[in-house]
Amino acid sequence: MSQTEYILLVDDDPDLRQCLVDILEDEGFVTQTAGTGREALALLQSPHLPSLILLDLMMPELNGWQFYERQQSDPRLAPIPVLVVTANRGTSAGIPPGSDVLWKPFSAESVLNKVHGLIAPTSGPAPPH
Amino acid sequence: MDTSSLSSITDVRPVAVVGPEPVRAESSLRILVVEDDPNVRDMLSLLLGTRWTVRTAPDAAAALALVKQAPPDLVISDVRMPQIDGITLLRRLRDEPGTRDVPVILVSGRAGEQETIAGLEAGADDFLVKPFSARELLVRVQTRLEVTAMRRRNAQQEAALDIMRRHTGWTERLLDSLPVPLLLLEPGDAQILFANRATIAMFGSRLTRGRPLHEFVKFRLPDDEGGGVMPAGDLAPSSSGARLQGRRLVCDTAEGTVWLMADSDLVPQIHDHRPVAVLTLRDITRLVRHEEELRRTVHLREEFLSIASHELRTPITTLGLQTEVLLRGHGQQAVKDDLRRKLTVIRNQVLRLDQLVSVLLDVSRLMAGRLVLTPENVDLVSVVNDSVDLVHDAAEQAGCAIVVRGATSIPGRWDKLRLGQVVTNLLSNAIKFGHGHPIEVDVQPAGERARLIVSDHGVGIAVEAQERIFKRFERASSERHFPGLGLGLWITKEIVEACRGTILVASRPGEGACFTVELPRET
Repeated sequence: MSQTEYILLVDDDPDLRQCLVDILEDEGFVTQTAGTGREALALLQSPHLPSLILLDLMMPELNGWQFYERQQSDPRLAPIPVLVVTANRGTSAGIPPGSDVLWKPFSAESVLNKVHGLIAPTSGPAPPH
Repeated sequence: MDTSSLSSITDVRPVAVVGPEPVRAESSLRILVVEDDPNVRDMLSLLLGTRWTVRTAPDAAAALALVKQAPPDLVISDVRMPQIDGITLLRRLRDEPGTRDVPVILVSGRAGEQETIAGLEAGADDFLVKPFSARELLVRVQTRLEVTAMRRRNAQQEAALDIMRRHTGWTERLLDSLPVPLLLLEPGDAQILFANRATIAMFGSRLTRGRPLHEFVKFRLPDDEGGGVMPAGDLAPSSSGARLQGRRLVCDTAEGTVWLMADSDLVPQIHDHRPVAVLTLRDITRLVRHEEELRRTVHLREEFLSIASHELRTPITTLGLQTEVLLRGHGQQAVKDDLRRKLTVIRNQVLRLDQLVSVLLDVSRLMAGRLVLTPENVDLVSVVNDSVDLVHDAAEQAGCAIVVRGATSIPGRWDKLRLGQVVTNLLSNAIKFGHGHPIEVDVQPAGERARLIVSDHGVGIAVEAQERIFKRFERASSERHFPGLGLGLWITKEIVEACRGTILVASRPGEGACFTVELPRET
């Protein structure tokens, strides 16, 4: 894991997290998970950075917007693409500018399409086993 | 309010109130000469007749008869006459209401002090003592007539003022009976001319007439409009000043802060009434409090909806994804037919659950007027194709083949999600009511607009129901045959209208329905 690039899933819902892990790992991606923005930031202290962050917005402790702000202000973390996963369509808070979005609920196909589109070709997934 | 020390609204100004009495021609003024000596009588008649209309009487009885016929403007009477003397005649005239004010000049043969005193006591206006010159006679008569005319004018004026005071009193009573605080103000400086009872009830009795309104109460703009003090000229507009129209103001009273809806106007000078500014102040404190509460409630509801949508959609997503993963066979293991059927049911129900959540959230947002559109560059044709894909399974189940015709690309600026919702709603509607029949979708550019036509061949809609179907919770058909919330077309119409577009339906019962949506391509 430490040698491989991976996708970081940040979501406070353990079932959805597990579900995404299943789908992504089924597709051959390596994943890591965090239940809050704070946990995610802690994981990002490691020198091995993810190729993509899947980010829920409404989370306890450090929410998605706050996490995104910190991530963007850190030059080391800012280049990592972020896919926001949210249900809050049309609310005032909005989607952090510059991030891509996946509206809940979504299909396995749509999440894989988005993920493939966002991960740079050089850091593509390992071939499926 | 201390009304006793102050003038009233119309603040009577004598000169302005009544015009001067029309001046009667001198020659029309009537003088009655009472004299028993025919020579003197003729001489007086001759002298006075050069300027005035003169009648004569040889004695007091004849004089009284003439007076009864037509009261003269002046009586000149000899004091010493047989039977009834001049002083008695004078007393009789003074006793009669009709002649009480007729001026009387007495003429006596000699300046007897006693006669003079008796005459003055009886109310004589002047004395002429024989012998007198023609000039003296004329001057005294003229003076007396002038004084009388002046007195009469004053009396008329007084009467007119009295009428006006009564009118004023009546008007004030009327304004006092209004439940709305109303002030009459001097245009420009807002001096209080009158404050009705409702005003006193609101601001207390310290309001004093004749003092500027702002000495007692300051009206401010609401904080969100800068909170500045309202100038007197706006409260009491002069001819050039702007009027207040339903202006919201705030002021402090003993009861606390009061919200007012102020209207001001100028009543220009009408006849003898000078211009006056009218200020009405409706107390809208309760309304404003309700509004604030409503805003808070709506905000809370928005918050709640936001959280609820998140809370509802997350488990729906997980459920949907898990079902999908299971359906895909989770790796190599093939899913048995029976299990696949059951999983398909679960997946369909999850989709339906999500649609219901979407509809409920949309309705809440639309009802709160909070539909936010985020236009982007979108191809309508590709949105239509996506929607057709989305309803593919449902259409297949219902036996509806969907045919898309028309342009291959119609670019424009629209909210992609909402546009997709419009197309999907119309397709779902066509599938629902056009069971077993094909559905045609036609997409065409129409100048600056784009046109989308969705036609089905289902049950159709009666003419009288065609307007109703776009309303909330309405449906053309019975609930039993076609279940649903009855919100789809309402939401569709609301979105179309938010995009400044139009939606129309053409249909006949039994012949299907044709929905036409037109949208501006640039929003």
